[in-house]
Amino acid sequence: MSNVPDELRYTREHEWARLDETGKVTIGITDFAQEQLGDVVYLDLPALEGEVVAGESMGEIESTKSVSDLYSPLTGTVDEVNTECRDNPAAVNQDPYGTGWMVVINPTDVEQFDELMSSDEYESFLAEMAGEDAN
Amino acid sequence: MRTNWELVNSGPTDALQNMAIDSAILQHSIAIRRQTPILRFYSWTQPCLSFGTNRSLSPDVLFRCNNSGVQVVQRPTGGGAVLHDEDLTYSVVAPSVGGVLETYRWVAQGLIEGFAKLGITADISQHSGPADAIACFAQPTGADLEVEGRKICGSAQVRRNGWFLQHGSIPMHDVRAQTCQLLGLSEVDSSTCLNELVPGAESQDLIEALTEGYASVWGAVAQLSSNGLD
Repeated sequence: MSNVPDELRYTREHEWARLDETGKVTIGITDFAQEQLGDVVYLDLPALEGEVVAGESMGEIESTKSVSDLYSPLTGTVDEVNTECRDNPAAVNQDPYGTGWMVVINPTDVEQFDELMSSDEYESFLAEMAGEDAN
Repeated sequence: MRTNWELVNSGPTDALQNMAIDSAILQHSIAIRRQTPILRFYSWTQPCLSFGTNRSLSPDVLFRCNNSGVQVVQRPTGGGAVLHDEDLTYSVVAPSVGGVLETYRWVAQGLIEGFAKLGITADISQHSGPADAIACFAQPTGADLEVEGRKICGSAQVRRNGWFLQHGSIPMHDVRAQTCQLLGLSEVDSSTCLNELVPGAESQDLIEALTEGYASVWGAVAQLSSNGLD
């Protein structure tokens, strides 16, 4: 069973988002996503101060099993990039909600954060996916 | 479940063209939002070492490839190096069917059924390979098919905008020693090849078996006269 912390928001592309008190949002991939991907071997993250658009690719993640786009949950500017994680992508597997964070975004419209899935909604989404797979 | 598939049989094709066609089918499928999965079979006009999109090969490996007349090409997918020397390569492009592992399982159904037509009992590997393995066939992972613990088909995947491209190599003959020589590895891995399992089997036998495999799982596989880019 994947770990889905209550305090975070989620996307259908299996990214998580954490809003801090300054209005900035930290992004990473979920425990479910890292389990699916297997060992992450490469991360291509957006440039500092680069523009990202909600729902569009902002980078790439490669694991032993797949190469996938990383999608931005929000529109805004990249405020921080986790270069330690980029240099040691295994952190994504070891601690996806902690040291495996990827970028901090300064959102243009912070209300986009509220439109993301709650932990309950994301858990239902995962259950729905598992049901489809079983069928 | 019944899903119509379309089949492209490219035959022996140049390395760069092979990768370009796979990438183009993916891009085109995304552009036209194609719902019908495309299954493509191809081989290589000359031996070729392919390697994953974010990997690199050392100058020593490139030197040995050059001296051995082995082409080198980067795949749009991830993963380690694969020597394509009289192998059969398949590719599948389709809309997303779920997560990474679900996708491998989805594609594997037709392959497993196809191998069964040749009397081979293949299954998805339950192992987890080393993250930094340079040789794709070094150890089976959940992305691969194995026969009694020995890898028969190594696959790699890229996912873009709700569609995926997955391709994989099935060696017809034993190329382990040659792969190790090119990559500078000392230990020969425990993968297998089609001719060890079905002596005398030809590439065309495998194509027919796999096509039948997909047809028995999905109901219909229609051969396209084009390259899948219409």
